[in-house]
Amino acid sequence: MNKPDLYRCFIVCIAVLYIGAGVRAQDGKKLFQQKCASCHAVDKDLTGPALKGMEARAGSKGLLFAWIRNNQKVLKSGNKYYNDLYERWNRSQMNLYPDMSDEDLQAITDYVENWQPAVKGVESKASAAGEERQQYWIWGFVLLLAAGIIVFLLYINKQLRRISDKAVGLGAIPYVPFYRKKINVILTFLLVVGTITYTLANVAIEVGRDKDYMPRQPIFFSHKVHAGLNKVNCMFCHTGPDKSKMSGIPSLQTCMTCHMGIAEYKGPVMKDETGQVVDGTAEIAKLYHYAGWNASKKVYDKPAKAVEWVRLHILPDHVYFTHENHVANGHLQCQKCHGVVEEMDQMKQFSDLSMSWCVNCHRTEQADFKNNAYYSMFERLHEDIRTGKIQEVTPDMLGANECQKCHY
Amino acid sequence: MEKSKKYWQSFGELKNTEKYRERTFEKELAHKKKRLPIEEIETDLSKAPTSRRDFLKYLGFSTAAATVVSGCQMPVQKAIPFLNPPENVVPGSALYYATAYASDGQVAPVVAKVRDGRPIKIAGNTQVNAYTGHTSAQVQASVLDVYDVARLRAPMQRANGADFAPISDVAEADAAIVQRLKKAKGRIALVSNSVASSVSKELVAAFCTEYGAQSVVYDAVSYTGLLEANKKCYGLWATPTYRLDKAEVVVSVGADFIGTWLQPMLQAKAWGETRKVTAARPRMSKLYQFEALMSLTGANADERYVARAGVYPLLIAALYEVVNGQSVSVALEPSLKEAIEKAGRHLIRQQGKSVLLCDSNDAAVQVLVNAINHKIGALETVIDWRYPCMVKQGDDRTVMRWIQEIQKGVYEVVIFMNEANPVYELPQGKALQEALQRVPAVISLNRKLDETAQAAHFIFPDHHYLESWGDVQLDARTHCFQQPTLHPLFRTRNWQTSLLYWLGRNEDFGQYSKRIWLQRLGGQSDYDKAIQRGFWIDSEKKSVQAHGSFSDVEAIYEQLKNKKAWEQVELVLYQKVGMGSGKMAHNPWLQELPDPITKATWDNYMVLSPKMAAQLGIFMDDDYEVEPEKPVLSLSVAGQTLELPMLIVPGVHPQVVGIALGYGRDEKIGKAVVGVGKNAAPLIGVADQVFSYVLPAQMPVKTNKEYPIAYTQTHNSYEGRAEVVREFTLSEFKENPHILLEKRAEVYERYGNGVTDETSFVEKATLYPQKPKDGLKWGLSLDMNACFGCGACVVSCNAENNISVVGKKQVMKSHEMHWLRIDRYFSGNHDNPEVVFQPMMCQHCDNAPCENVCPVGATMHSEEGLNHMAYNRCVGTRYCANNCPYKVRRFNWLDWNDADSFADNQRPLVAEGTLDQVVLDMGEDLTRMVLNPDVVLRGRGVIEKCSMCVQRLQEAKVKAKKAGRPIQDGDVVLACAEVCPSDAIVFGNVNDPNSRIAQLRAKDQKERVFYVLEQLHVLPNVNYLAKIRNNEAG
Repeated sequence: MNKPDLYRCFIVCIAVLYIGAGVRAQDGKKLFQQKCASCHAVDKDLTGPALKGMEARAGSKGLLFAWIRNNQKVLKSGNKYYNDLYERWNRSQMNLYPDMSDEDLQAITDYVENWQPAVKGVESKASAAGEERQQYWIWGFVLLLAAGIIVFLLYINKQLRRISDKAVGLGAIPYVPFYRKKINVILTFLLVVGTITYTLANVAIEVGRDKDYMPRQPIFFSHKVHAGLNKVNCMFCHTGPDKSKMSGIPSLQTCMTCHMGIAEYKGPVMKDETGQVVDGTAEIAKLYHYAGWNASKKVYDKPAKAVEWVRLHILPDHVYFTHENHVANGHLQCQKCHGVVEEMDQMKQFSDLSMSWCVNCHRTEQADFKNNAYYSMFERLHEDIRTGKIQEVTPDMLGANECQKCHY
Repeated sequence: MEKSKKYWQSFGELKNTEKYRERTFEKELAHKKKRLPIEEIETDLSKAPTSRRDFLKYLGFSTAAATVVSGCQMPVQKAIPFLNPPENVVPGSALYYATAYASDGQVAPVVAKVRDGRPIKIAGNTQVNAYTGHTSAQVQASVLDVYDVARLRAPMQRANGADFAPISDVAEADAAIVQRLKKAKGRIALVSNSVASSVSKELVAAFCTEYGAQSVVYDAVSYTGLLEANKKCYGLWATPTYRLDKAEVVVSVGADFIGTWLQPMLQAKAWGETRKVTAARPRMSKLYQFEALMSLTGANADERYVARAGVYPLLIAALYEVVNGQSVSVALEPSLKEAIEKAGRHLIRQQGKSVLLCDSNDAAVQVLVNAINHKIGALETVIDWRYPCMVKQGDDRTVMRWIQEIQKGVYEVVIFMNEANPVYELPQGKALQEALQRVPAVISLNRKLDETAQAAHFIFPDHHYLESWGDVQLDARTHCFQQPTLHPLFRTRNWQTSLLYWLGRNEDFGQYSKRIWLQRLGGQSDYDKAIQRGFWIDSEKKSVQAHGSFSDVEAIYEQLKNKKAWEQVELVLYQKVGMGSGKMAHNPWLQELPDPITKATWDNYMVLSPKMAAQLGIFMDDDYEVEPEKPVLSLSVAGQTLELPMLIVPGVHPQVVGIALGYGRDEKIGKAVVGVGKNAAPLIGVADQVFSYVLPAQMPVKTNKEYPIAYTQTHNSYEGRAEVVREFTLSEFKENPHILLEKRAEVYERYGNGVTDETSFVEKATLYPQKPKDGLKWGLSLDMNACFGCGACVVSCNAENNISVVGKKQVMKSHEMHWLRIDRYFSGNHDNPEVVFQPMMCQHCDNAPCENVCPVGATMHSEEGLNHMAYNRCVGTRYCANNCPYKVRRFNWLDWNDADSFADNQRPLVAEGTLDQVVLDMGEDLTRMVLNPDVVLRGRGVIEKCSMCVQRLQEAKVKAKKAGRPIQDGDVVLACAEVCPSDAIVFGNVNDPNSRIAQLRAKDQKERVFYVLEQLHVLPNVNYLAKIRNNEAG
């Protein structure tokens, strides 16, 4: 084996290891979110304890795995650490996961141990947008200034010419003030009419659009607390987006899965749209009221009532939108359209949901063109990529912006 | 093909006089003008109906309205999630449940599409056997019946003479009925239509034993003659399965076996198999049809002979002679004699591959038919007796006896169930109604307040089949299961449940049926599997060995042979393909479905021949078809007179008048029947205690009245553009398979600057650049040989695409909204024309003429070869509709669905008489539950047309992307293709060389492919396959 071969071998090994690790880490995250995230976080206590360092605390991997699979068995065996833990957590029982394999559990453990708090990239993005806006004002000011100077210079130029003409004796051109000049009158008229029309048209276009719509909901549900602080995955509660046109609003049963054990709100202060402080514990009590749950006796003793949430994102009837295609096939993140949900105490409509908004996104986002064999039908586009004519394929190039792709 | 073969949709088109053209043109414009007041101001402002002042008022109002509306806040919408989500239910995606349809003597295993807890579409279940999977127009329309506003919503009772009042305590009422039943033991009658469920039959038997009740079973349209003959010959009160796919030759005497006779759904599918011709295999079955009226089957016949129904027995006797090798001695017209000899010899030549069918309700005739089928060896192959079919069980003799008994006052309790509605359906309806008044307790278990239920004292309304558990027996060993697809909408219960309660059982029919089937099937898992698949085949069921005994056939032959056909005019009572016996007359989708032959909607009428019309002094002059008003005739039959408008239909026997059953229903069953037709059931004859649908009558008399019939015959004319239809005989096609390719080459040469092949015609005969072909390109192919014109696709399209119902008055103004219509063309002889059916919908032209005339870009072309229509961009200029050579674009003249932002803009129109009441029903919240949530409702003032079920295309693409594979055949089934009995509709991706559609166009059917109006170079994405008529003697 000569050197380059060895080298190649090394690279392949590294790649395989890397990819392998990647896959497992990916699985661990996914599994964590599917199985654990409803009750546990990595770095803080929820319904169950924070998981960071769980293996070290349990003492052995075997014991930990046995506990996860069937905690009742471990408790009965009289293990001290776990019996203490059980008492400390008010004897609330953990679900059983008898079918989970060692690999799965190892993946979860790896994920938990290697977990790092997320970098607040979104915030920096927001501040970048702020900066951009500031720059915009500066540019506007500069332009205005330049226009003023040009007008002033033109005026001086004109005055000078008048004086020189007079001096040369060409005879005075009768003075017409600028507001009586025909061209100016016409231009002003056009400008005024144009501005009014443009404004009216824009206002008319905006009719029925409700960007930043932030209604008060029957229960003050904070996405910031759930999705942000406690890291509950969006699709843990909204189960539909990858398999239906609707994302689905979680049932009361979903809420109660966790809230049977969480009756008090102990997190940071929540504020509503008017700046008033919201009492989280009172809101949880409202949930119990709807669900008919008696928190002191820990039983459902009243009939449940439906929560009438106020709908936020409303598309007109003539628009067909499906989450499934955007989430499952387009791999879009929820935040792309719904905003930084994990930072919103009170949910609001983030996008204006206008057609131009849809269309522009179809023009800029990339389709999963190279990876999905569905697109093998589009031979011409593949050829164009091969020949370097295009770099990427946007939904627009696949006809996503044709009328009856959404209007039917 | 004869060079000069002329196709015509109407007599006016055939004669094509200047006056006719002017009149149709005027007609088309006249009513349209009425709706646009501004056009009438053109001449003289002061005389204009809309004055300047009015105009200003409108202007002021609309400005004010716009201000108010724009000032309004967006309404707050609520989103209410489940408390406990049901298993498997994902809001926004559909679930499919196997169930079974059984109504009006028709059974079909089906699959119901359920969206968010409500069934919205039916498709056939193809897995049961080779003959299932086709669903007729009625089955398609049945989903609308669940949400029928006129359904009875609770058990009701009434004292004599009083109105019905809901029963508050049902248990108490049940107990009272049990008391009555116990007291009336032995004097109880259970009246039902044929019950197709084995479990229910056992239950009825148990009830009869318990209470000594008399069970009376009848069919709305009787098959007693056939059943009696089968009993006599084979010892079975049943019918066989007709495996028409095995038949090379079918001779039918009056039997409309693909439209209405016996089991048309199964038969159409089977026969359709034999109608597919390719150049590589230029073979097809041959159908000889002898009939008095023009039926759907007759329209599809290879050779059709006009014979009055009175001579059917003679024809059968003559056929008996021919198949027995004798010469015809029966007294027949020479032309019929010749035809019978030809058909009979063909039957013998194709021994074992031929069959004779007859619709006569005379047992003697049917015995002879059985004997002939026995002789030609049909029994082993085409007629399958192994597992007899018991869907038709009605015995007219029992019914007649029961009627006599009830008039004598024998019964104390009469229970009507399983759709039995004898007051409407039987000729003695009126007498029965009177007799029922003297019965102490009349109980109806029907779903609606029908004619019979109105005479009842108690009504316990039945579930719809989509709400119930149950089973349906297709044949002796094939059981199909019903399962609920939605929670019962009202306080209803299965009629079987009522019987169970009255038997003192403490279980409803769902539990009862489950218990029995669990026993029969062996266990829960087998039961679950059967319910999931929707059927179970009893493999242990012994097959019947039908040998047949024909001992007295000779005597019957002698008797029939000498039967004298009457000389005078004869009345034939028939069923329309969409309407059947009228059980679903309240269904607006069926009422608005044009009859395949007459193209009339919303009415019944007398059909008669041009010759008889001429005798009555009615000529097809230039106005006859332009105006909907038709002369009203008066017909006397056995002392009864019926007045109905008339329609001239070519191909009807000159001495025959035809009237459809199933019309003139009582208004209490729904708004759709208000003022629609007249009931012909009282005219049904009784011959030897058996109902007869052929009767001697007086020559009809012309009255001086007129009555409008809404028919679509002259709508959407091609204005004489030729070559819309391509047709050849089988021998022409065999002789020169390239005959059509040659004809098309002539078109290319003439219209394409001398090019001779399709590719160069497509590329060169145009100014437009060619679009690159990439990815998906949808294409549709319609086989005109396999299309029978049954109309199931039209109703399927209604259900899938939320097509509006417009009502009779608006159909008369050509405002019908069907995206898919079936054009019916006659050609040849007036007295016995040939018929061609051509389904016509948007052709999705690549050079679409509609697209470049739209001022607002509301109709655009897609890269997938579809012509897109954005309703909300449309401003309603109708330029596109004017520029469409196929006349397939439909304009929303009114707000059909009550869908506009201004509520209630239909009621004033109904009050003023512009709009029919039935349209109001379609806007009800209950009825709207049938709407497909994936398709938007179109408002007033926009154009719509076939979208090629774009919602299904989009869904299929999402699924394919998720699966990470290209689109394949079968990913998309269009709503029209889903129901086609003969697989005449093929759809797929043309760019995929392996797809069925690409193969068909490039290889399999290359010789038969044509495009309608190809010379216009609009490049449709819909192709047709030429009609081939089997003229060979075989």
